[in-house]
Amino acid sequence: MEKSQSEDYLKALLNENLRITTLDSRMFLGLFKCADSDCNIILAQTFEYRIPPPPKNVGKDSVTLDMTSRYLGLVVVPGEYIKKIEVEEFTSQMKKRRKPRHDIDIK
Amino acid sequence: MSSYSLVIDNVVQQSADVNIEGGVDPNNPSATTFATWNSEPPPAPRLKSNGVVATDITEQFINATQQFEVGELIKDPFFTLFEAVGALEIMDPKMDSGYLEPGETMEDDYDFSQPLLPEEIIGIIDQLICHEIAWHKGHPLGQTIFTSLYIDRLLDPCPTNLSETFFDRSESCSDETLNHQVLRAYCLGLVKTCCFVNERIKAEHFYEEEDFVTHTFHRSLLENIHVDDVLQLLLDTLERLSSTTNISGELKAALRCRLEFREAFLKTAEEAETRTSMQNIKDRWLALQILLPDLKSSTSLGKPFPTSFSAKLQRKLASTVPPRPIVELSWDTAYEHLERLCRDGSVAAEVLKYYDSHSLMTFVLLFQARKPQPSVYIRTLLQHYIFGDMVILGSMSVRQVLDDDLASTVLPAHKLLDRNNDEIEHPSDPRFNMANQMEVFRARAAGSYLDILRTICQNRCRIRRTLCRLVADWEVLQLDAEELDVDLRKFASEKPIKDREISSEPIYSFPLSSWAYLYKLRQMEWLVQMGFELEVYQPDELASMYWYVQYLARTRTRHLERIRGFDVRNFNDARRRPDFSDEKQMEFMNALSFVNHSTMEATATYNLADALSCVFTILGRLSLIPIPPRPYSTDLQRYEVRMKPFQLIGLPELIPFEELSKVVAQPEGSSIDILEYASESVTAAKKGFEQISKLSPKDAYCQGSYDSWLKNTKDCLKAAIFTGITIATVRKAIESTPRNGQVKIKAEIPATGKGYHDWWVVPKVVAIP
Repeated sequence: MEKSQSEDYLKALLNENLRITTLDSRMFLGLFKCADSDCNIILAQTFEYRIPPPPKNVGKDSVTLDMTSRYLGLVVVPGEYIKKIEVEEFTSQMKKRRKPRHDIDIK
Repeated sequence: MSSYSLVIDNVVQQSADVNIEGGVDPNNPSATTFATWNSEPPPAPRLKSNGVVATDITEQFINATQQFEVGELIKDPFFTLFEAVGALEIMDPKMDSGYLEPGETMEDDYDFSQPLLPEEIIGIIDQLICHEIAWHKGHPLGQTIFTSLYIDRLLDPCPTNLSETFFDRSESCSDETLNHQVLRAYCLGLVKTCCFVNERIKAEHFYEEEDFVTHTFHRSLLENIHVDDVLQLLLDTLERLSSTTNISGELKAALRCRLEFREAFLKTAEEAETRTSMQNIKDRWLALQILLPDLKSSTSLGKPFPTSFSAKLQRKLASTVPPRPIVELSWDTAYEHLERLCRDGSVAAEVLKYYDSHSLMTFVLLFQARKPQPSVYIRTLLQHYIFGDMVILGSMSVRQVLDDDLASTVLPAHKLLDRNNDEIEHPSDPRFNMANQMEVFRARAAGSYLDILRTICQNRCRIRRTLCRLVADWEVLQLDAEELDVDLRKFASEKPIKDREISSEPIYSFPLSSWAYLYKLRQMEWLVQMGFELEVYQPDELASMYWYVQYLARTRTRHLERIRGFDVRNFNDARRRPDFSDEKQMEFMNALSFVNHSTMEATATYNLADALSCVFTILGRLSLIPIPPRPYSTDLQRYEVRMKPFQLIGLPELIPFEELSKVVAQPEGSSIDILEYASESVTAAKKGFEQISKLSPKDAYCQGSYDSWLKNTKDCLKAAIFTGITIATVRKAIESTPRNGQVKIKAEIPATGKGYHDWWVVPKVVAIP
């Protein structure tokens, strides 16, 4: 990617809902506000999601556990701890969804 | 977009809160004056939802950021770096409450089925009392009550009835041990009490985080469970406790008094909100207070149980702040606060007995000036008693109080306040017009009037800051009232005073604007006086600030003189009319008595302020007042900032700096002459306060708070006496010093709380060898 393309790509993501998974397997869902060259990412109105600890006395039956969540607000996730970044999209709008714009002219 | 506006809303609200002395919105002072922070976040979005998919963009994203130079960044244009400073840094143990050390687990491995000794129950309960009081004192629940694992167990997941609140969930309810039941009943009672307290505080004006934190971190404080169920459980537990033989008498008594305390506190919190019976509320607080000594004497039986508290619980709470340590409040501090809470609570209820509008204001002023100031819960209860549902003291309309106030100052037995005017429907009838215009006035003035009461219910610093806005609002009110006065003149067919000796123009009474002016002057005095209490002024400013107090108080006596003149004139006119009644006579006498009392009070105030201003001037001349170095400002600049709230005020005019420094410094007067004058003033002030202190509660307009009023007046008197001593000491020292010699005294300026009265800073002068 060229630098201007990268910029456009990231700009298009601004204010989208990102899901960032960290190395300690927590996930943060929030609005993308800012990123820098070290991939430090600022999210606004963020919720933290965590896989709950396994219940005691588990039998053979498998159990479904909901992720526990809580509100954190404005957070910065340092790039070094980021394992995965996802963007939330509405299925209805996915076709129009921007891809990295290799194929689009830049004037 | 909606998200962005949310952020901006917060920022705007925050700045509205911070910038109290800056912008003034005269149209809507109360809305901005009392802007509070809405901290409730939206509910967490569900992760699995049809229609939304998450696409992995890890690689693209990281690649894209790698194109940047160091220091370059991409950001939402509306997002500022100023905001970014407030972001919580994930994985930083100091910032990220959810961070786990390697090998650390999310949950505390706490065994809720472990048996507890009665001593341990007492230890946990007493620790919870300390946490509860720490919360009352302004610490968040997350650092206090919510650090208890037992409380967490009750609240998460949120129970819908009492059967879902057992600590040990592996057994059935009949197996619950007595000790566990005592703790559970106590904890449920505690949380329910907190629920009432929190709801009350949230419903009134207070300053979030500054006074109190109402945030519950998305936990429900047992809103789903009825208070009667909790009270019943407490009673049942008491009964079960009394029939047991397994616990020694001493420990049993200690557990019993804790459950009784909780039951009484919960009942008090529940009933303190009803305004029907003052006696009932007083009795509740007193009954609670009686239980306290037993708590105190038995606390030594308790055994601390620190493992049942954990700061880790914060990582389960919705929180936009970094993790913070558990608040440690000592038992003695907590106990003292609790005792005071009961005392203040029972006194606050006395406001419900209404005597007259001035006594009401005196009550609130003096109640709020108690040292230490009543806690925020009591202050919000007081607000609720006064303003709840816009029914004043639970029984009166705002109009009643306002008309009372007008009748007892500028409009005694006046036709403008005649309720029969309301019945007239003919638009050309002057009575119809009077009723109409008076209603316009009430609609305009009621908010400003109630804002005074509301303001003096806030914390001391906020009182001062909010007064800055209020005086500006009352300035506008005064101007608006002036127009109404002119309109009303023709309907009330007022005959002006025509006295060539005073003025060539006819003189009208301007009753409404006169009333507004009186209140504006009082608030300006309070504003300056609060500055002494809050130690806002530097020592070398005291001379000019006391000069200002005397200037304002003197203006007030002159204004009261004018009001008295018109009251007397109307009284004489009314007496000659056939419809004059005893009732009207009473109204006139009452208004004149109020004007007299205010005049006495204003006179004593300006005399003492005048004397103090002179004392500080002389101490300044003798270089006994330290002057801090101020390399970055001039005297004029500082004066402008200091007097900013008064710059908008047309009457009385702000004295220009040059003129002020001259009248304060009195360069042409000799020190002995100035002290002579100060001594005369202080003698007059002493006499004045002495006379005032002999007034009956009715004549002093302090019915319902006579004792505090008397103490306050006596404190002013003591300050005056002490000022007299200071003047004499300084004078003696000057007289015994040879020309050009160094006067052998030093001056100490007492800190707030150390003098006789916080509004009267009297320097202590002592001889040095």
